[in-house]
Amino acid sequence: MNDTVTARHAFDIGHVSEYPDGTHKLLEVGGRSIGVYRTHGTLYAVQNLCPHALAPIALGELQGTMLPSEYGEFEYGLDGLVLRCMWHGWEFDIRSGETVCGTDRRRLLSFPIVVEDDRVIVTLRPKGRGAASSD
Amino acid sequence: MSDDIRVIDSDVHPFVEDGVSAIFPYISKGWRQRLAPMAGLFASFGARGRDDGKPAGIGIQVARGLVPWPKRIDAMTPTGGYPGSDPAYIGEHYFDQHNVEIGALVPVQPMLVDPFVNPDEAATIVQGFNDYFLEQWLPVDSRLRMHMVVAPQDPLRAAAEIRRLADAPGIVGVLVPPTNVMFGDRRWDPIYEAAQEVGMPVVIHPNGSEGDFQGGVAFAGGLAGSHVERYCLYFEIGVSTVVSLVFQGVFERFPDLKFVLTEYGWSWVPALLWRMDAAWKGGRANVPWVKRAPSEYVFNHVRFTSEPALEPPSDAETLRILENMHAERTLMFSSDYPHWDADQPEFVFRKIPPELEFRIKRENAIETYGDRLRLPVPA
Repeated sequence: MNDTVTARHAFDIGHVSEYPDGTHKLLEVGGRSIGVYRTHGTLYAVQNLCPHALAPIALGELQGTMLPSEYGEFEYGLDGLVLRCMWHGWEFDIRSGETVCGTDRRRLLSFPIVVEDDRVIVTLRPKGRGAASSD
Repeated sequence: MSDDIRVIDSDVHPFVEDGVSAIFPYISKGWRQRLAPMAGLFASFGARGRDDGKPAGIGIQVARGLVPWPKRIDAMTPTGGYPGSDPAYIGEHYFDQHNVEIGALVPVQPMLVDPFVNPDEAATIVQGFNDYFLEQWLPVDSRLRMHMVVAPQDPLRAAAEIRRLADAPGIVGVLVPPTNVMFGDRRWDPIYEAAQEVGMPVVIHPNGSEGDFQGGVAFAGGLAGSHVERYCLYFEIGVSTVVSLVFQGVFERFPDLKFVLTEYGWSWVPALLWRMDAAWKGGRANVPWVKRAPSEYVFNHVRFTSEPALEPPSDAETLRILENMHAERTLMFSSDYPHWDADQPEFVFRKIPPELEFRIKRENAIETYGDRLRLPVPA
């Protein structure tokens, strides 16, 4: 992919200080609604559209969930890494866009997001998996 | 889907933030005094997605563990109100955006009187909610209709409430909170008689307390151990209800009655009807008042709502079920808006013949609810 095409899809969405850890923003970027999350120090950008029933999933905050466990036990984990849809309750791992515990093969569409010179740059080129700022 | 279908939705849920205190202007001074200590009752669904610390409306659900269903933050009102708490916003957020011509309210809060021991207390509360919704909600959006709720404790008083509201514009059906008395039991006859007389269907919907108290709806085999189990078992109540209605001869006693099962599922209908028809051939003498094949009573009198729509492995499977249950007559679209598992009209029944889709999303509701559905409600 040449630089021109990349530039057309790359958007500066603000200074990194506008994205404190543990927060998220809903943005209109390049005609798309996206959710930008910072959790455990890492930035993630996802499409504001649940792949199950097309709900505005990025209205929600990241949370944890109950991990597979022994009968009668509850083991909480993935804290701050799970985006759970407010319609039907589907859970996605923000790091990969995949459903938690492989409940379904559909994925949350995520976009590469990087920090360059303290500016946050998101690239709206569809990519199958989530991308961390360290990409 | 055919985008030009103007959808009729038979299950939209209002929520009254103030709970029972909202109905105080609609009940007598004496009852206000008596209910004053309960003013906050039903002001929340407790753990059902609410996080403002208000007391639980459904105590037992809290005892079973926090309800794990998500909160519909997308459906919260512009002022931060609970999803479904503002009739104008239901119009804007749901009706406008999904081509819904008419949405019939199913008020869950008044159905929570089901465990009350005092029949007059229960009847007064549902009467207050009925009048409250009539005056405060229906005039807000011309697309709104509502079901009245009657209390199950005293069917004679429930019948009087049905007749009192027989001509109230905007009321389209009679919602009866389920209990552990099967709906074929003659105890309910006064309600059926009044509903038939005024020409409204009797409607049932889960009330949230199934399996929670003595006298509440019992699940087959025992108590469900978690909410997700409970959620999967609601269809059992639908099965029990259909079997009871048909074999106890309700539709022989009330030949013009329509009965709607809301939110109990529908994919089980074909298998049940095959079994009932087969059983009737050998067991007819048990219930000699059942003069026709059980499936015939169901096709003529019983209606099912669609939400939660099935997510089967293939569309062909869905179509086969729809054909076998005669969905062109028996299935009505419902969204369950604004609950967590709601169906959007354009997301379900997309790959079925257009005529069938039209029947499900519109015409079957018009036939079931009758002219009342389309009569204008005074603003």
